[in-house]
Amino acid sequence: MNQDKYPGIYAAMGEMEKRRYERFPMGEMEKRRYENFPMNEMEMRRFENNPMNEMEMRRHERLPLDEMDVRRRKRVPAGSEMRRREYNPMGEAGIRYENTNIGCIDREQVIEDPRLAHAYVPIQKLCSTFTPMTALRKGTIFPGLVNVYGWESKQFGGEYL
Amino acid sequence: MNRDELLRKLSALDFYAIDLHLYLNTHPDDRDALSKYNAVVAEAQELRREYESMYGLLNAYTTASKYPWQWIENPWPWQYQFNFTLAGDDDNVVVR
Repeated sequence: MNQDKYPGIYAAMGEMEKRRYERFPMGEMEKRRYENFPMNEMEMRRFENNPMNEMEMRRHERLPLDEMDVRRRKRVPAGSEMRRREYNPMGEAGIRYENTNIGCIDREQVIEDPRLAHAYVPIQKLCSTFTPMTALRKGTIFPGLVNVYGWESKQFGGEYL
Repeated sequence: MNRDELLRKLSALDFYAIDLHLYLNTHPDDRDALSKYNAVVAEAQELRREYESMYGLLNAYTTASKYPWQWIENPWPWQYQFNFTLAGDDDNVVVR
């Protein structure tokens, strides 16, 4: 241990830290990292209140905080190309079956403050429907219920969506 | 409009009304859906009246019959001749 080389660090240590440091002194790389990126005041306080343990550190490195956001964005959003293709400017029988509210988002409810291991079902809004004859063939009037998993188009040779 | 085409369009409108009815059970305040439902039901009633005037009863309990009793003259819904096929249908069939 080179107390003379790092007197500031050593002086800032508490009694327990000094003892631990004497048993497990910093390696050369740790010292350099600490000198280049010392914690500021807020980081020090946050770390002291909620220090990461070893498992949290590893998990954080493998799955950074925005990982779930990225995965969610990759899923097909409402109003995507797949659904826009069902847009029908004039429905059959003189009835307007298409979305009369352009820009309608069928999943507009934002779930705030979700809790761990709780199930949440957002309220959906009716934006567009199939025409009656198409609905009869597909078994539903709701475009969102067709080809949910993306395999129907292969099985029926592109007949569905 | 022949019988099969009329029946197919009526079935499509009835199916549309049934699915929308389920939606309205959980979304009773959706004005747009309700107006669609009312329009489809009115259209289906019109087609049903037209069908029954030309081809006989669709329901033995809700429609008046001319003499003689028409229900037994009609192919019943579970008979092959009564039903149409959806095979080969395309989306461009015009209801009206």
